[in-house]
Amino acid sequence: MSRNTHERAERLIDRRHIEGLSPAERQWLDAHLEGCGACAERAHLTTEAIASLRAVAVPVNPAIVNLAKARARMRAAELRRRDERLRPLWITCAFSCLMMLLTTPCFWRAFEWVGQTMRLPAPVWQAGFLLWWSVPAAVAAIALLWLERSGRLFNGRGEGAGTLEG
Amino acid sequence: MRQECAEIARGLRKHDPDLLDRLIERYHYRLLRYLISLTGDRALAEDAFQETWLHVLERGSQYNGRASFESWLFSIARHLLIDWSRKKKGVSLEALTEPDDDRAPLQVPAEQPSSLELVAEREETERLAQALPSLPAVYREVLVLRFQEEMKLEEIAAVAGVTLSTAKSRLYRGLEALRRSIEGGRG
Repeated sequence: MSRNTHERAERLIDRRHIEGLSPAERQWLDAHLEGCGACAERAHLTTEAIASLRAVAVPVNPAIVNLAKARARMRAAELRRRDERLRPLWITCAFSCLMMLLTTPCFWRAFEWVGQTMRLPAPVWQAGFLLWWSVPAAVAAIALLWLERSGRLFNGRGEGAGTLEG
Repeated sequence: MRQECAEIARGLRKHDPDLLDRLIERYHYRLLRYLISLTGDRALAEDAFQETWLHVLERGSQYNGRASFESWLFSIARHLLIDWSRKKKGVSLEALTEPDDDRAPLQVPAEQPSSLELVAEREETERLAQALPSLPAVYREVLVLRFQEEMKLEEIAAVAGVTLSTAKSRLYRGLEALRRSIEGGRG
């Protein structure tokens, strides 16, 4: 038998377990293994190694499973509380966005009218509109960030998740 | 299967504690076995096991229910280990998952009927228990996912965060390395 034949057989032995073989390839390989001791030994060793890998057992301590369940329950409760706390915030944000969409054209016209009445240059009343439009949102964002950093808005993970370990 | 995954995704979005209990009960063995295979260190694997379930809760909204839950779970566990290895400055995942010679991460089942066939099987498993930790972690991982977890090649690639061809290549090399290691153990 040529070297190429053995190399093909070796490739197919591995491929049988990894990607699978076509019926023709399987037939060819089986025929080759019947007549080639070295390749048959390799195939046997591969099958044995994989069977042993499948047979490996890992003893599990039930305590770590129970601990994982308890920690997960605690964390789930924390996350649900956080979601409940955030719900009014999301509703407020959605309401604000809606109001912004509805009122922006009206306020733009109002600022324009005030600017024309008071004979202000266009950039001045436009800057005023921009400030009116952006400052409250910026203040709210800064306040939320401050609340979050100080741990008053979200209940940080460090506060409850590790208590079972102690 | 798809419906079950969709239900899991819905439950995770709601942080359903009963669902978490069921998932932990169902996947604890496979997850721990994967983590032990990857790290070669039981204590580290048990820590990662605890943390993985917290990450599952926190990132539950990212699971869309289209992929299988186990591949998503294993990928969370893998990313967690990578994060830990990054926090250990200058230590790679490979170094983190390097086995400690004093510990035996893979253990042979204690209760086996004492027939001759099972004794031979047990000896083979013991040989493997010595051979497997000596393989590089990237090979151990794909071998475990393929032959213990019976994952499809696409799922293995998704868990390992590599292309399909890289996953296949690692499997071929890993199988070769495992065979050599077992042969070396026999010799």
